[in-house]
Amino acid sequence: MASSTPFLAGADASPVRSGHLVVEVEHVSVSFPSLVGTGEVVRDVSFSINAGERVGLVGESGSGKSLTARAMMRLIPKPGRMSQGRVLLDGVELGTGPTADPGRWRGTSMAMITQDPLSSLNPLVRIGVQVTEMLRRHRGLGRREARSRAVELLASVGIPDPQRTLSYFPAVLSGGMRQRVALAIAISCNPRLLIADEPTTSLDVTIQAQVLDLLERMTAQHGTGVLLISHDLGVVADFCDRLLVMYGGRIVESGPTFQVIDHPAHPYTRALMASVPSMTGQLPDRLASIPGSPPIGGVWSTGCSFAPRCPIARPICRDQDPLLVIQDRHDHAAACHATSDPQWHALIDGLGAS
Amino acid sequence: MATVNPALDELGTTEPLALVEPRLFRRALVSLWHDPVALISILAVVALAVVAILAPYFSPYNPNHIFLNGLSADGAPVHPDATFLLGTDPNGRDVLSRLIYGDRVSLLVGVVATGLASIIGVIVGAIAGYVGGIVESILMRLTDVVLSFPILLFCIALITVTGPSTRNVVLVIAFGYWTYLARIVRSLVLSLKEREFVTAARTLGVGHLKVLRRHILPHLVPTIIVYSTLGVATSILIEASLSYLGIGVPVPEASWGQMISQGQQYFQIAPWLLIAPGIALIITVLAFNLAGDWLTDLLDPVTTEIGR
Amino acid sequence: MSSEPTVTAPGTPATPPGHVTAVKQAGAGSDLPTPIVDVRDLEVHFRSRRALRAVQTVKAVDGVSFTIAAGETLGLAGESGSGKSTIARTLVRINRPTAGSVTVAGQDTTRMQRDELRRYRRRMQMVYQDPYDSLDPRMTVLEAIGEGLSVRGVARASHRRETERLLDRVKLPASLVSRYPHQLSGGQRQRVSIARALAVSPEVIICDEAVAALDVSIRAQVLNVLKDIQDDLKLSYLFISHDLSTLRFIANRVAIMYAGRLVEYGTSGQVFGDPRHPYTKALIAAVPTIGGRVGGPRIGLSGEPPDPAKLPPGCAFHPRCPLVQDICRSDCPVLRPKQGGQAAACHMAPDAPAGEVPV
Repeated sequence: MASSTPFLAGADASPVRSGHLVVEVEHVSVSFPSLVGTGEVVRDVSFSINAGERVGLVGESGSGKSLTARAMMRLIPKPGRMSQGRVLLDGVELGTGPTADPGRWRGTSMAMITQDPLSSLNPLVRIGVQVTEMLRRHRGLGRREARSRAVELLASVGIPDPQRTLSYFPAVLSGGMRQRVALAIAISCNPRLLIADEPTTSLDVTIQAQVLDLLERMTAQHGTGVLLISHDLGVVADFCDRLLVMYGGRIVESGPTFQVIDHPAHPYTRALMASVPSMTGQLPDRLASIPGSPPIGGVWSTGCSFAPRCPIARPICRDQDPLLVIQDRHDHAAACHATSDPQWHALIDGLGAS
Repeated sequence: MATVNPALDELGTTEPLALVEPRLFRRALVSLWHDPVALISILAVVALAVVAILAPYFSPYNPNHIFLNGLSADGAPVHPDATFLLGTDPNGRDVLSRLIYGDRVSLLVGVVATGLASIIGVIVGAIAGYVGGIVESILMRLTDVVLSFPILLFCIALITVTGPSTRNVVLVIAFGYWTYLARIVRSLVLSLKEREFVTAARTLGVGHLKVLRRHILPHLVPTIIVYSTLGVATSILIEASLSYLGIGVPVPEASWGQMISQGQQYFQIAPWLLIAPGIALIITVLAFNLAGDWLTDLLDPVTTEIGR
Repeated sequence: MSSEPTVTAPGTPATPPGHVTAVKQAGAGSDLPTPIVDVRDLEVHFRSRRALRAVQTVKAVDGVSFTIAAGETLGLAGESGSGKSTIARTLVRINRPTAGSVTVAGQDTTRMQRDELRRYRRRMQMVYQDPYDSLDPRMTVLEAIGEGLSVRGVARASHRRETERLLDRVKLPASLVSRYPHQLSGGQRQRVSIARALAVSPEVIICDEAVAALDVSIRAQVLNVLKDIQDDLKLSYLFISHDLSTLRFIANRVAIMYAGRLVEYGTSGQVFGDPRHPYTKALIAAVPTIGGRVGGPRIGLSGEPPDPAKLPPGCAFHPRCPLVQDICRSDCPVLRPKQGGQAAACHMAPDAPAGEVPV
């Protein structure tokens, strides 16, 4: 049986060098044709992820975060397309040379789990088959071997009766269990990067904690990098080393978690944090909220996409789209004109409780 | 420097209008523009309807009038010529006139029968779906029974009992056809019943009848339209079949089915007797079917999400 | 809002398992006013009939009691299978209660029929989770709210004026009256739903995960609106949410549900500040917050919420409880006042000093 050897053998084959870039996203834009012309939903997004690093991508609807992930996996739903930019996996541009065939790297070197595991798991195929299929196709394991490895994998993600579970269909399991299975399949070939797109959004909060715990353990064990995408700032702040905040298709702030959380430079980040009620301390009488609603992709006016809702916006904000500019020596960057003027920037301190 | 948004409140004034899809009518026109087949079929349907309604104006002669010069010297139908554009039939009547009046019969039967079937079907389906329980069971079993008869044979059986007449033909077809819509409407109503806006209306205190009228029925309209259009095509075919067998529209009245039946016998000497009604029937059924297809696509479009 | 919990049935030894004693809480400075909503021993059981199998009883709600005072917000928290949504639907009579009573403004609604029920419906309205489906896509905002106005008996001619007034209350511009739901954003739709609920002049509004489907930055808007109108119109809310931080903000008192029963019940400060039930503690610890986790590391609560059709014996939480003892496996704990002021249903939590001997 032909097995497609993965492009990258996986974390256990090549030594994990810290600081080694696993994924580079360069100036990626994704556009969709719409009734009013072609609209860009992801605009000029660039970032990179090191081996073993945990990066969080935060944004609300319309921010483009999910499509960015799909662009990385080259799974943009039609009729959308990546209108510019490139994604490099271990230095090689995806879609060229050895990576021209997505089967060589998708699921093996770079894997993804999504919000609804019922869509990533085939509901008509038994779980055992789905797990072993990966192992047999990409690892060339024989049937017996693949089965026992599958049992191991399921056990490692905390499934209580792995042997029995192999013969189950996905619909029989609960949401948390399905997500564990999806995770098992995703890491079965030791990918360099795991993209988790809202993996716990539909789960109960105690189950969410379990799954996040598991994600933490598994990725630490294998040195897998993680791109965790969520609208929940708490989840990413808790889990990730670095944060990327997206708004209107662009990255508006990026940096180490502690920096972004403690010293948010972009008014959107600041306002977002202020609008979530905290679990400790004094609660305000009213929550700081951002008026209006997040823009829907495609229709952009000139200038900063946050300007219409920004409480400290000035005329320049409507004219010029601000660039992502490094703020301090912690590699913390924000795209906001106010950062150039300390007095102006100080106004964001008034945006509700910090 | 003053800020750009000095008095931002939460009035939501900065919220963008969600991408509005153009109104249905405009979408229809755009769609027709791009789809010549659909456009032609819609025009054909309209033309057929106009001819049917204004039959006396279009028809050159009285369809039942037996012309003295309608038959040739040896009693054969006359070829198409200047006087009789499509020739005459074995009785000496003008084929074109009969064709036009046949259009009227077909469309009349088709539309009325389907209309009747739709009304019955929607009522039965809506009651079954909304009320549920034993009422639903009874109604659905009844529907199943009627449905299990092949419609044509069913109609034949009924006509032999009730006797052929235009009115009976209409009733019989309606009686055979309502079941299709009843089933569809019932399952639609079942799912609509669970929609949150229906629950919300009931919670507000709106009564059952109002809920049915205001919330459920409007959502059934697209489906009803689509099935009715297709139903007209089917009804026309059934009427033609019944008339072909001689148990449809009674003899003096012109009907395509009848004409086809007659035309069959005389095919060797007067092929136009078969070809004309045959083509007319094909065009009509095709036009209604294609128009129905187009309507289906129009009223249940797959929306493309602009991405999230 | 400090209060004195008074147990209405002190020291009754033979309370059957699952039967919860009602705990009344007095509003600040008042003398035990009649609560506007008084739920007692509510049970909602569903029978599922499966072919060739025994009839299964799903105990979605199994003996729940709580009260809501006029003008206050009771938060109801719980995960899937806890029964919180069932409670909401039962209060507005979408579901029928199997046992127990629901008293609204002094009237027992559990036995109401038809006309009486229709009048009752106006008192308690609901805002639903799904902003996209709770409005009829074929009705404009004016028509949707107008439907509520008609129920109240407002003449057609005044609909427009009244609708604009209601929209103003929820901070929406009057220009939205002619829009269809698909032309509104999620936050706007929810506010229209609130306006529609207000159209019938209710006294209680149940918010069933009303902000869960909204973007984070929009949630705050809607929550603020809810708070504002509560003060203006003296409304009471039953706010159902799985999101504890939202509840902490909006609720005066909180009830935590697990497997169809209340496991903890007290003021917001009590329950979140000093939880007594191990489930509550685990729930709070599991919430990932920006400023670091409250209550230390994610207490890895193993296992999953139980299937309401197959509840474990004794305390429903015992298979997952870090403090489980033998008694927990056999005896279902009763909700009773604990140290700290709130009520909890746990054998392991020490009772309030003036309380009775644990079973």
